[in-house]
Amino acid sequence: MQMLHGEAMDTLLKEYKDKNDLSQRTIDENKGHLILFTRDRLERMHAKTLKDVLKMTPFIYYHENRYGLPDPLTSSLFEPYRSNFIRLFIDGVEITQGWLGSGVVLYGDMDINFADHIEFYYMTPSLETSVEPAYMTIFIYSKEPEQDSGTSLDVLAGSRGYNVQDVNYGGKENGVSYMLNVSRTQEKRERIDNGTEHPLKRDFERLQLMGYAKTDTQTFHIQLMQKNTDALAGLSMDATPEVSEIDYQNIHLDYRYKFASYWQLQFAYDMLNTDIRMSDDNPLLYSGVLLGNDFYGKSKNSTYSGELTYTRQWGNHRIATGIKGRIKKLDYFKEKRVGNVPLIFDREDIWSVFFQDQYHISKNKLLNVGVEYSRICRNSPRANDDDLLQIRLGYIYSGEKWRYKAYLYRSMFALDPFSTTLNLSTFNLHKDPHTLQKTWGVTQELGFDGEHYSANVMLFLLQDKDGLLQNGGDGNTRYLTTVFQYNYRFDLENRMDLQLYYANYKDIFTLDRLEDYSGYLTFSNTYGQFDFYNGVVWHQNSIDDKNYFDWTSSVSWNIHENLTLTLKGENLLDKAKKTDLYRIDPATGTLMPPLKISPIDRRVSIELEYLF
Amino acid sequence: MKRLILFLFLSAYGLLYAMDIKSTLKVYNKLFSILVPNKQTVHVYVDDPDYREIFSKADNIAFARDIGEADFVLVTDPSILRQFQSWKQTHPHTSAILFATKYSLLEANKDVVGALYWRKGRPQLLFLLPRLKAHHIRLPDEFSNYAVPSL
Repeated sequence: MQMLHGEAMDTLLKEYKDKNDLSQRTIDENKGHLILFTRDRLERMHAKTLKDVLKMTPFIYYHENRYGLPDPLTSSLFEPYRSNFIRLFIDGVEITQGWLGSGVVLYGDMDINFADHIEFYYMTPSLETSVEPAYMTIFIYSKEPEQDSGTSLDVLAGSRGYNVQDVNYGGKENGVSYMLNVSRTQEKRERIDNGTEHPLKRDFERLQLMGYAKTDTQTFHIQLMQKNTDALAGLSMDATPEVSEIDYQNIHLDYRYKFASYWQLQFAYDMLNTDIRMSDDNPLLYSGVLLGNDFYGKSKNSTYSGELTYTRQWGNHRIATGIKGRIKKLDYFKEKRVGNVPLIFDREDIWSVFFQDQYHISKNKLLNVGVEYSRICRNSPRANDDDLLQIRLGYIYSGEKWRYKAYLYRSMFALDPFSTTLNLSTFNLHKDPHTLQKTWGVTQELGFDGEHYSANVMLFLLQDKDGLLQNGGDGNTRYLTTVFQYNYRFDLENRMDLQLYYANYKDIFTLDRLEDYSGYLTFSNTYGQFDFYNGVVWHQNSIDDKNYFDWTSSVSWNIHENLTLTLKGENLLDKAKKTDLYRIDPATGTLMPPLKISPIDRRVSIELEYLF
Repeated sequence: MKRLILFLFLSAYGLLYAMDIKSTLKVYNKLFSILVPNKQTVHVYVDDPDYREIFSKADNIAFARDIGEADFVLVTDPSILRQFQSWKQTHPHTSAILFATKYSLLEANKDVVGALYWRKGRPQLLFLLPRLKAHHIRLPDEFSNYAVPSL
């Protein structure tokens, strides 16, 4: 290795930072179109929850449903949740809630103090990782002891009594890396005026534990969550509940083993308990299916996932193939007075087989071909089995400065069990619970890396046939979306990030056309012992042409190498994007004017971090 | 070419974190040129297997068998400091330069002249001027932003 004394230290450190960033270890250019939040960026943003990051992620952004849960694709109507098509992975293994869809609904606002970086990929990424098809896949990767050994303590207090305590401990001994993170959040949120003396509440208390131990060939991972929530409107038709509370308990365990050079075996177990308490002076939603004005129910569901994959380089071909299985089981769903609630099926099995070839045409060009066949089996004569076929073709060019990617996707989606069961056909959520959605997509991305800046543009053309996420219309929606990203690095400590997004939908819901605009502009700066962050997220769409601005600002004082004090303000202008919450007048059965609710609270907080 | 390396690299990785060899060596070679100047071959005492793997790729680095043979001691955990203290008791005039990979190790022992470590996703390079002075080392101007009189 040649000595390179001539290069300036600043330049060498910049390269050292870029090349040793943990994201360089996990980013897979072949997975598709990536939006990356590095550790440095998450720290500068003072992103404490996944919500802080999702609100800046185009295509989906951050929304909450009528239960006050993260649900970016929510229609704000009366479905239990919708974000089954957004998949969440932690350290490469999916977190899922089985009967309650993907992990996003419970983990979409999770504490991310354990995380090093977050990757968002559009559509189904590499078939090696996905079990079920997705519009977007979120990969969260934990901190590593090489860069975060020892203990960190983080305490935070903010508006309305919001407070968080977080402890992180990591190390590496005898070839075993380990980390344990425990956090407790008491979330005190803005109340929503519903025209009564009892405004809607969405406060929650959460205890979260995440830990792993790993060697170079094995990983064991555990994730626990207890979340007691005020469930906003819950099952109240007119959003005037007398009681609306849901408590969740979640366990996730996984184990991964790499063996014989090319093989990987993986098991995961997810369990979710829910305790639902709902009461209203009018009949609740689903009152025809379940009960009248009260519902006090408990449920438990378990998900077992396993996969065996084989990956090998043969000349210019990198072949990956494998089988995957997932069993979703509803262990029980019972109501206090009537006992078990009858459902049309309580088990769903998904079996998949995939093949993928990444072929190097030349040293910087790659072709990618992937096919996956899945069979979904359900244990009821009234719930059909489904066959799904996913196809993915890709081309990647990676030069020293220019990058280009193009993909052709053919994805199929089935509606998840809970939404199928709670099918409010009167609200036209979908035509037939067993219809399969087919989505065709052609996507392209062009990027350029300059000495101090990088620019990126993505262009997606997609078409849904028999779309499952409908509010009226026939579900045959065509859409074009573009994302432009530009970042400029003044030096190692100072940078600017710009993002612009435009989407044009044809035949969506009951609209002939919908246009959606958004973007953000952020500045991260350092002066001496102080770090500053300022960012504005902007939204507008053609439904009301109203502009929404979410301004976040923070200043951190690095009092000592081990001690940092931060003052942060979120949604300072109180003009963040709002979501409609639809209501039905119980007396007439007609729709009332929706409540407009921002999922982003206006908040000022102070934070103390200590490393020891 | 760098992207090709990424493509192939992903097919062979294990589950543990591994440092980038080229950029890490560049930084340490620059540090050697300041801390142990005029040495064609730098004798490094390092215990950590990851750093040994990286330094083994360099032509100008040789591994010292013990601290007495070392020009440069890389302190990656407290056990190295204990070894150094023990060595120093019998060899008080040892001239090896101690350099740490964690801030806590820089804090823990006044013989450590500096550290390259990670803090919140950013690499931090820090030298303590009085400790450098004890070794008669003067930093070039380009390092002025990385030197402090005390912790």
